[in-house]
Amino acid sequence: MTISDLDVKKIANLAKLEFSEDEIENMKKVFSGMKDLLSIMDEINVKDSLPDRDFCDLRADKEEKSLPKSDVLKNAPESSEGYFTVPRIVG
Amino acid sequence: MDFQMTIENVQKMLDKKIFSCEELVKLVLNNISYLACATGAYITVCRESAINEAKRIDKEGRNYPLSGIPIAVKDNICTKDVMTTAGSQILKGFVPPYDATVVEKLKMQGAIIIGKTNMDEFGMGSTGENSAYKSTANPVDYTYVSGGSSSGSAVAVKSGQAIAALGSDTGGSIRQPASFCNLYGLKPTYSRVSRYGLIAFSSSLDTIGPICQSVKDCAVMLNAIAGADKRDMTSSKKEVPDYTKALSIGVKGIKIGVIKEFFENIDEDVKEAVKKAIDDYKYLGAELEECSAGSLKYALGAYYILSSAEASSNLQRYDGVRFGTRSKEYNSLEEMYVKSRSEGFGDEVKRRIMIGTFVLTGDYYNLYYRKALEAVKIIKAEFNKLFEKFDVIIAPSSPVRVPKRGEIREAYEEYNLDKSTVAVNLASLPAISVPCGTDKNNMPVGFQIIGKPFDEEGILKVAYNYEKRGDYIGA
Repeated sequence: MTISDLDVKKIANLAKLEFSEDEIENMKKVFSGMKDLLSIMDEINVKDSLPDRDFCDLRADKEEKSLPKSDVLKNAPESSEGYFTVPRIVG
Repeated sequence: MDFQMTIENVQKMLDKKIFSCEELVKLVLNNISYLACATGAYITVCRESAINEAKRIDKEGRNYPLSGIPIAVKDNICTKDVMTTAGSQILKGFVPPYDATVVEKLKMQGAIIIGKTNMDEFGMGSTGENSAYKSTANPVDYTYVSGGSSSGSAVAVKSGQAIAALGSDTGGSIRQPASFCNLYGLKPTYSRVSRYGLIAFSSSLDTIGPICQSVKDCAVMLNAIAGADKRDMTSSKKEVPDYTKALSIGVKGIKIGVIKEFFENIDEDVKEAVKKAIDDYKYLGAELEECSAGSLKYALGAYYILSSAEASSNLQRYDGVRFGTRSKEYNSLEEMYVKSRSEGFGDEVKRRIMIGTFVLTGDYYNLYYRKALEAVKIIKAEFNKLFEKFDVIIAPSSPVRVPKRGEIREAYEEYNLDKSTVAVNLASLPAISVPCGTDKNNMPVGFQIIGKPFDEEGILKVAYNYEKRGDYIGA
């Protein structure tokens, strides 16, 4: 598994992260350091069926009391008039 | 045996009025004041609320085994009106408007939350050196790591800065620091304890459990926190027994499996200490047999693929909008996301998000993620087969002796520390780490007792018999 600068940048873009050139070099090292750890997976044949997962009961689709808006907004970096505030999106 | 401030002993002293709850809390707070800098155990200390709660309990009386007991809570478990950071800069200042179910349960039973313990950021780390706030030191010898990620919880209990603590275990984060700090750490079966209010790292592997000074304390803590919770749909409805009732003497006839792969490529002194514990069990009348689990070779890879994949998804929520920190400089929404995340997350967390994003992208999904899921299936099947023959399985809690602080430099070196513990999480099994002597540096060694799903009673009993062995074999 070889990971190029471009790959790291592409993955970073998907992960919404940015890295300096030095950090990109380090990240490439991490990926190559994990090579042995991951290459053992080559031996495994994937069967068609998805692995068994433990299913849990679904709750009734019923409206329940949620936290007061003011409590929730207390942790927002920016809010205004009962809304979360973000930078302008449309022109 | 040295006198220990276990939950059991503290309750006796409160009964005899040797001290009041308030005096006990102040004693623990004093220890925190003295040891805070040297050990780095806490991120937040709940000084005022703990004293007030102790006063209330002194007045109103104690009705539960945990009433009046100062308990530390790992900082990835939400506590109403008390900052909860998960050891991350990105959650600095986050004050949850609700309690996690486990915290609610502890409070209802009169436990006193003494503070929020330091941890490797979001649970990602195995040494306790990976918190955004400070590094933890092992109270046995400050030059060694405490283990992680529930580093502060183990350190607090070991150094009298709490009587017991809650940690979380995704790949060994309760068992390994418990082992490094000479304590008992119980990782329950997945779904035995509600995860509501636990800041998610890897939702299919995360568990909450106790770190304590005795097996009985672990049982008492598990009694308090186990059970179904409608706010965590994955929590099991299986009835919760009284775990303290499982603690009886006698392991004659109990079948213990020793998986040889767990003992390959591990430090010799660690191996020796664990083998000695195995010999003690033989002496106690248990039936021991070596066995093999070839699928364990996939465990570490599968763990890092699955936990990182789930983390990359779970940690998408930190975007600087609803909670957590927001970058000061940005020109667009996209830039705000990227800068808030890049500034707020530490290096290890970014690495895991990158690995997780990678294994879920395009062809790599089939090459890695899908295969890791298959590996889990194989590992689970192999454990199930072993448990047809054995009651419990014994393994080391760590493949290496306690490292010095600063000794582990490369990410993949740290990942190797999890070699002994991750398979238990992948297979959703319960396990308890038990202290068993020292390594060549005189630092603690521990072994794990791994049980069948929901057989916490079985592993507690086997652990209890080892803990009490000195009382009746004159060790």
